[in-house]
Amino acid sequence: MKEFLEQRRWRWREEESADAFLPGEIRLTLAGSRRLLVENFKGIVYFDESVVIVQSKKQTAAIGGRKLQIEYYAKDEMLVVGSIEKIEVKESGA
Amino acid sequence: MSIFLSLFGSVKVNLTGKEISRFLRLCSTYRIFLFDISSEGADEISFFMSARDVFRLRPVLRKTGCRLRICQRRGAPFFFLRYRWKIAFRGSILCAFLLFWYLTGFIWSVHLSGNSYLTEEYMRAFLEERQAYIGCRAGRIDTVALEEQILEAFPEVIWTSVYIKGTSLHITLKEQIRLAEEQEERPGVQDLIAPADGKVAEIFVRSGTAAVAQGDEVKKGDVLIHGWVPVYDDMETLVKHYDPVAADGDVLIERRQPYREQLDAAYQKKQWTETLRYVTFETAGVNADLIRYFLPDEKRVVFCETRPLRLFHSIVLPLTQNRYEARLYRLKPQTYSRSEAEEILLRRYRQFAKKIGKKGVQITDKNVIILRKGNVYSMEGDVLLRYPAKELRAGTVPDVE
Repeated sequence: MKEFLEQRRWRWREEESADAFLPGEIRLTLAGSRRLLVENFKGIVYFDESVVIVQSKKQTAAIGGRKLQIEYYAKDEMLVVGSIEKIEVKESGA
Repeated sequence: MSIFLSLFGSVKVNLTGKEISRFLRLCSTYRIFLFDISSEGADEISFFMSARDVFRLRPVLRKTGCRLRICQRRGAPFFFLRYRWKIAFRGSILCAFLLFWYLTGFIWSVHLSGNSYLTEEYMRAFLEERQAYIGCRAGRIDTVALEEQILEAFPEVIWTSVYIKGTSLHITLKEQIRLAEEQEERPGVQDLIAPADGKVAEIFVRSGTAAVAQGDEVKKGDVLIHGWVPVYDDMETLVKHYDPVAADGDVLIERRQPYREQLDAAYQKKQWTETLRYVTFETAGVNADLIRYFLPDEKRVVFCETRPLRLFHSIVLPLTQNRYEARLYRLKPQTYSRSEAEEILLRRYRQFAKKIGKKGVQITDKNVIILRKGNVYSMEGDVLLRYPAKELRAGTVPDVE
């Protein structure tokens, strides 16, 4: 069982590293419910305390929560902090 | 980042306008770094940014039509600007400069170079006796007198230079090479003796008389080459005296020796869990060992890098910076595989060969195998060693009838 889990974990990691930067797709890394790292995005569509909407070439992601704040905003990534309750990703065309 | 911002200053900005998302996008295009962005209501946000970047915002503001208001200023430039007219502030800067000027009149480090026979501790004790220690006034040190005292006290020192640079005392020495002592000639009969039990594999005499022949068995301490030469007259008869010499020659003693090395298959492997880094400051010369108060109670290896704090390279401040790196680990029971054990045992064998090789002993033949007995790997067998004879011993000239 342990070996099986280990194998799966490795396979997942390999897949993750292979697909790390698919062009046009937003990469979201959530740490608990307090911090969310957003990468591979084009810009912010809307931003207030309860929702942050970010857009990439192909997708739009809406991050819902309370007391949301952007800890930093750089060209390649931004870090959203606060109480994150919901993440919704949609294809931009949909 | 926070040090950079404290040094160059940061500002909190309130931004209002219709095109905030475009503003943020343009900021990232212009590589203007924003942080702690929070929404202040509809079409209004506040964020922090570096004070230097405020002027770079002008084209972005023009394009987006946003309005900017600076609410808060933080960091060193604003601090100095705010308190520039306060007497206490100016007084404290003056005090700091005076204190700095006063402290630069002392010696805060001693650099010693060129010494090989004289140990650093011994030299430091000598210098302390002559009132040249860490914390003494630089003006009190008479460098010329100190040079003379060093030359007088240590006959092996042939040249010295003492000078003060900033707050450091530099001492450079040149010592006499003790060639005479190393190549001491011993008078009288000197026999070359066997370094170990074994068989004479090779013998070549340069000076003296061979006492053994190739293939002879010898014991440790037996004479191999006598330190005398018989003197014959024209009739090939031995004259009644021998010339004493220091025996010299190449003699190799061959000996088969058992070799045995064991390795437990079970071992405790270190699993590095975490690396902690600390920086502590200490007053020069005082070792407070502060790190033990910070480290968690776990197995660890601690590396420490100590360096005195300097100003303008030559002025050493009476503070040392210790950078600690503590690597925590857990021990996990593991077992060596056959190949790992073979590798370790072979490495040990190579170390053994290197160690005896430094003494001039060569391994000419080896007959060792690696076995596993229960939970123990062992390398067993024997090695054929060749010892060179180097040791001389005072001997006597035999009487001639």
